[in-house]
Amino acid sequence: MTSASVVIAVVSAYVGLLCLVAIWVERQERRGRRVAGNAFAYTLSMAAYATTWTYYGNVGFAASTGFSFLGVYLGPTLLALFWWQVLRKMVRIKNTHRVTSLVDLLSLRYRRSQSVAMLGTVALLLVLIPYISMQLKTMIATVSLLAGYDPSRAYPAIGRDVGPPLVLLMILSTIVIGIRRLKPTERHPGMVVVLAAEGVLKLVGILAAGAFVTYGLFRGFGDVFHRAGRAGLLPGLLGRDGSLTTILSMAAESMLGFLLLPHMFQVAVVENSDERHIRTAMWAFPSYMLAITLFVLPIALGGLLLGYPASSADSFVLSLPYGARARGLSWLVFLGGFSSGGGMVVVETMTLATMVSNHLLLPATALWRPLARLRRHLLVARWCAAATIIITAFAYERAFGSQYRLVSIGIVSYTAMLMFAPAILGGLYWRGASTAGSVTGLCAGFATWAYTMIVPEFIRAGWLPRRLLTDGPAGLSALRPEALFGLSWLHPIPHAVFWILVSSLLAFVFGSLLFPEATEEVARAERIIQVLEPQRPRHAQVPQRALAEAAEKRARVVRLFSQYFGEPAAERIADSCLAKVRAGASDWLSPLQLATLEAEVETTLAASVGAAEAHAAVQRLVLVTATEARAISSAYARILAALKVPPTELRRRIDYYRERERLLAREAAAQRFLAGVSGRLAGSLDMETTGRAIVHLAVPRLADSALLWLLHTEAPRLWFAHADSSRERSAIAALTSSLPLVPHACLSRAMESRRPVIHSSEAPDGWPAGLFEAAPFSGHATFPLLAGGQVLGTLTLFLSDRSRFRVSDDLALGEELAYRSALAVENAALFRKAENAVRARDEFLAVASHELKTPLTPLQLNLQSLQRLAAGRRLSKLPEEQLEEILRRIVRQVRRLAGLVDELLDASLITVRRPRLNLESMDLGATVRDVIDRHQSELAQAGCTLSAAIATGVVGRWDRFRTEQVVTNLLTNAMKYAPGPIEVSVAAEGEIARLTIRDRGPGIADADQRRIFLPFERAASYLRTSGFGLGLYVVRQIADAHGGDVRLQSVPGQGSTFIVELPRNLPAERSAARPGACPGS
Amino acid sequence: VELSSAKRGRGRVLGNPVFAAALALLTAMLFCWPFVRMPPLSLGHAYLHLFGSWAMLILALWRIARQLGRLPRADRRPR
Repeated sequence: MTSASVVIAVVSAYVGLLCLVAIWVERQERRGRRVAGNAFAYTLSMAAYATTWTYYGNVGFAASTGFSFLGVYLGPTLLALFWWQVLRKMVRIKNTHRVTSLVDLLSLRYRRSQSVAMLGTVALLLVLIPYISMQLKTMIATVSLLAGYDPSRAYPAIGRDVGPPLVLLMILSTIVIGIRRLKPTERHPGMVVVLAAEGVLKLVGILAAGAFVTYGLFRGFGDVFHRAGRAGLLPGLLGRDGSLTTILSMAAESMLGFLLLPHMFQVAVVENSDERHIRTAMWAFPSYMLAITLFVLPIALGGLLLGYPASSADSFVLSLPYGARARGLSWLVFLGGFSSGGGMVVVETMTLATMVSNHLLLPATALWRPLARLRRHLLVARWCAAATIIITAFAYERAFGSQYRLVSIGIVSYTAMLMFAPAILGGLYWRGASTAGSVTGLCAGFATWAYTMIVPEFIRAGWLPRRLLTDGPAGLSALRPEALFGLSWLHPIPHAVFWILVSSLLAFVFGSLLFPEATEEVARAERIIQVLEPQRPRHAQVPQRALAEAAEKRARVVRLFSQYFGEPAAERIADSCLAKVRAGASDWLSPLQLATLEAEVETTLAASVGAAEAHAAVQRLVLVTATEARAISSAYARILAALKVPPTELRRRIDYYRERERLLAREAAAQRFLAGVSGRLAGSLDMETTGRAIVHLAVPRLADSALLWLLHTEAPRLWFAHADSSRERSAIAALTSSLPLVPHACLSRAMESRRPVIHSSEAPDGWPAGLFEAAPFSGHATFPLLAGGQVLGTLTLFLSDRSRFRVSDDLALGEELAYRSALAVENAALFRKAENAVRARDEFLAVASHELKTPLTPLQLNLQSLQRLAAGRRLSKLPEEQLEEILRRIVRQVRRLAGLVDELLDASLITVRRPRLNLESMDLGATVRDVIDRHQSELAQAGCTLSAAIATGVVGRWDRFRTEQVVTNLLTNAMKYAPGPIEVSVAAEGEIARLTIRDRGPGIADADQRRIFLPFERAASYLRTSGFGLGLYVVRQIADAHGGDVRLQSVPGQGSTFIVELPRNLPAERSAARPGACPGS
Repeated sequence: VELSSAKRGRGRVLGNPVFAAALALLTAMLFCWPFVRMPPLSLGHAYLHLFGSWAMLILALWRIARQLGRLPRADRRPR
């Protein structure tokens, strides 16, 4: 047997694990990784609908009323058919107005009235505390069952020991999972994931229990139903207490309850992160409900068949496996049941605590000054409210828990939610719905609920005289609580449902008709009702006179937000509000901008404190003075007066012209910006200036900071700009210290996909940490720089307001900037290339002059010497040997000159067209040996020792002269630049012949390796070595003409290796395509 | 062309709230039928009928949800 303390310890560990999951999920979400933002997490979080009533209570209900329990699930399933219309509308309103709870929606719709919000909050507290107590009662009872007690005897006494630790656990988990921090958007991804996990656990638990009872204790569904039929356990399909009207009324109330229960509103509306998730939930959630109720009837009938009393049917789900000594299964079922209660308690308490703090405490702070400090401690106030709610629910459970069954408490709470239906749903679709109507509807519904559901319970408890139920108050039988106006044929539940709906609906309609809203309020309500219509522009960028100083308004806004958040957060939010109206702190605000700023401040504050308190707070702040309000009215009036048309046409035209003007203004601004871009980029062809210009053009027009990263320069280079020069310096220092920069994933993706990549993140997330610290951002867009079919690099724009990326205009402008920047970068690169070419040409002319002059000088001297001898008639007297020596020298110089001219001619011919090849069958090894033999004396003069490894039989079809030229050029290069040991090898590898020449010279730097194969380019200085710089260029052209390749492997200080690979047979199509080739020659 | 326009027509029907209302009414009637029928169905048959109807409604919901994802934006607006 397990003791109660062990069960509590296990439960504490389980709850602790859930808290850790919630914390982990929220951390991941803050880093930009979406864990909760998917359709299935959203759907599974809706499983909060399946409370202990579903998990345990259904079986108890089915034991006495057969299939009646299905009504509670039929309602939401039928409602799912309309989710796309109703639930999506609620979600859209929540997103637009940052609604935080059901009561917040109510007050938003009805004049942002604090009275409506207070009334709704109080009504919900009265109705839902019993519902929370029901969950606590079940948890206590199941703990006692698992601890080996008989709940029917041990309960309620065991609650004295088990209750307090459970209550403490619930308070802590509510705070950690639901209200750990005050958020600008009241979404809780951690809580969604926890609810989803609990949803899975409770489904698995109940399915396992059902399968165990149906197939373990009996022989399947047929066996259970057959035996139950024979035993007469369920007279009819609805038992002794069920009726069709009960099913239908429960379907109706569960249909409305699904939308109106605060915890369901929280998960289905407030926690929705994407409207598209509703489409998945439409079918997935009803499937979940079907699965969780599949075994309800077999378990109920199975328990009764096994002789368990019907009065303990509420615990059959756990007591049957436990009684059959299936301990592992019992633990699973218990944890599933605990999840169904715990999840509901956490969400319900969290929403109620939010309502209490926003709609009761905050209005109280405005009424009583000493409480004003509470605004700064809103979070603590919520924690206290949550603790109070759970403790009150526990006290309720202690007082009344033993008198009522689960289902009774559940139905009473559920039915009460109907009073909200006319005000909420009517308000979503009826323009005429008014605040007075909603208040009267709520009051009438609440009074009818109390009279038809609570009074009978008090009578049964003996607190009120019984004759009230049988004869009615003062003997008026028409006012009997369970047979109002003679409807005695209805069961108590459908009776209450009928009268609550009728009374609240009639009061709502008549109240709205008799006390309509003012025209201005109707227009505001219309904007809420038409929320699914295409969005109208918030305000036009029409030129208007300056009305108020933005700095002064900002100070007021900061003062307002400081009352609820810290000073730095208040400043940040105030700046964000100003940015939304596109104004800087030093600007002047136009009337329309000021009006929009006021609305923005109110909406932003509403996300944390609710619409009613936000409205009241903004009114107290006096953000817009009376004079300014008049100026705003005049601005609107001028627009209205200019258009003498009917109101509907007027609205249409205003929308049209505002949109048109906004588009024109944006387009003009964009064109001006792009013209500036072109002008600035055309101003210079220097790469450094161009790079700096690009990043500074983007800031601050398009982004807070910009990073340009170029690949196609000699080495990757980057430029960075920020609106604040000190931040820019810090960021550049951070980037420089982290060089070579490992490209962020977005940069690589943008270059691969050749499309812009947008990324949202509030953490460095792959960027150097110093960059993020110096220039914080919440997202960035990376654009590839494309020119001539090549990706030259990327331009990344960093923004602190990531929503700007969603504006397609800004994105298009960013793309255009990237396109123009790419052209500018390409132009700068081409210009640099042209400059290099001119420099190479000038150097070549100098060298060519020098090279040609070198043999000319001795030639001239020799000729002058002969001329002098001839003039002095001494030529005949010159010894014959001496004359021959002079002539030999002359011939040598002429040959050298002719060689230089031939080399130049050959290079220029090769440049103009491919070299002509006279192909013949030849042995490459023999050719190489010949060349080496011819250069033996030069090798010796240069101080080179040559070792050769020449394979025999490397035969192929090549041009003998050109092949010799290749070997000669490479060999003379080695002699010239790397005197010392030279290794030559010739080998064949399949169809490839490979010539390798390796030296032990100084090697060639990486930057020069590609360049030296270009004409007139050399790694060494012209002054140190002679030659035109054409040798390697010719080698590459000849190798290419043969369909081969030449490669260089070199490490500075370790020598160089040139590898020439030639195909042994020139491919036919290549030789055919080459007009100069002579096949077969 | 005829086939694609027929498909489009079917898509609009599935996304129409009036169709959803009619389907809700039909399902409610299907659910009520075992409780008003004489003689009453056996437990097993009633169980099969009720959960079978429920499963069929879920199938219809799946088709509607899929269709809503395909409809052009204008057709997804409530009427």
